[in-house]
Amino acid sequence: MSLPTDSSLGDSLAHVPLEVRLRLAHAYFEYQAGLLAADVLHIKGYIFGTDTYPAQRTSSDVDLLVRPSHVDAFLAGLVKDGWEILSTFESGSIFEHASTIYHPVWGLCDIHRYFPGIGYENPEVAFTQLWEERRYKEMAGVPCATTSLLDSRLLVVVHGARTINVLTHPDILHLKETLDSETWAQMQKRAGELDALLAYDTALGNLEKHRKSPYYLMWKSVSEPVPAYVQWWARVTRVRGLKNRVRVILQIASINEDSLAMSLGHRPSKQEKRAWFYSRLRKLVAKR
Amino acid sequence: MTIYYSFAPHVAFLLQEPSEKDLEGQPTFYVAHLKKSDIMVLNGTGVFVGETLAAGPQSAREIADTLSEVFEVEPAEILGDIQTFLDSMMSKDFLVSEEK
Repeated sequence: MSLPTDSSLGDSLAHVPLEVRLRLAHAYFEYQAGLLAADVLHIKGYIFGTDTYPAQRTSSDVDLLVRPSHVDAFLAGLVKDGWEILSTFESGSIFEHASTIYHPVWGLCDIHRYFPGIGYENPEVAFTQLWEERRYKEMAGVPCATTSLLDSRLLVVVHGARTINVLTHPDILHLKETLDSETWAQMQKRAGELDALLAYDTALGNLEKHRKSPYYLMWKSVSEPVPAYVQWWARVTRVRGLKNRVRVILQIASINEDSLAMSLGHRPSKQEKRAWFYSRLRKLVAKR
Repeated sequence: MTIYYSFAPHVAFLLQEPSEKDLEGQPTFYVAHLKKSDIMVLNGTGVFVGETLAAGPQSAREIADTLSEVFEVEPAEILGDIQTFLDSMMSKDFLVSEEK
């Protein structure tokens, strides 16, 4: 009889399946949240599991929603522990909500400083509302804080609103098939409490109810196929104040090196940056 | 006095059963060191040791007794190997021990 064969990480990482690595990563982040005294909610992916998602759904990263006032210190702590920032909040998406980070052992993680569609006016208040209703789910033997079942399902719906052809989103279709009308009514009520009705309605095909909202065009541009310049205009008009609008215009005009690096798999060369810039320009001209 | 071993508070662990499609697959036990960002992969009888430790503090003798029932060997035959394995896990900071 041979006793325990064990191997250390160096030669065995390739043999750790992605799902296992991500489940262990959840445990890692809960541990780090404790060390760094940060309020962190594990969202989406394997933490939500089959009470929210279809059974066969897989995930490729960990998503964390961090209390906005804790996010800078939490991120700094992770960088100190060996994480690399692949994209900043500003370069991560048009909502500027998440920073993507990478660790050779734990893989990819999206750190959310707010969840698009929820609590636009005051993300700190929205986080507190979610935090107060949190539950704990065990991941790799470690209880991890996540949103309540109702909030988890609402997050899935609101997240789906950011998909072109939103009405065919598989996660939302799954909820439509499995939840009764009473649960949907509770979800709608909760969406109102969390300042999330616009995104909620967008996900269910009712965006036109919000034509007068300052965020209407933004949600239209992420849930329906529209020319690029419409989304750029939506981004400029979404923010308040001249200074912020100038910042967004400069962002649109400049090359998003983080995004380009993730697409290419390496930092872009001057030539690649130039090619990207002109392809964007062509896109604008072609759509007008 | 007996020494009891358990996973350290900074350790997470996970048992992965083979998929239904993988008829000849074996379970694997993963142990993660959350402070050092290290993952240890246990195969074969290591899986049973991992599962036993996950249930709570165990002495080397108790683990040997559990394994001897599963593998139908004398506890004394495997006690030395188990102690070596536990010492290795201790040296890598995956386990903590307590004398009782």
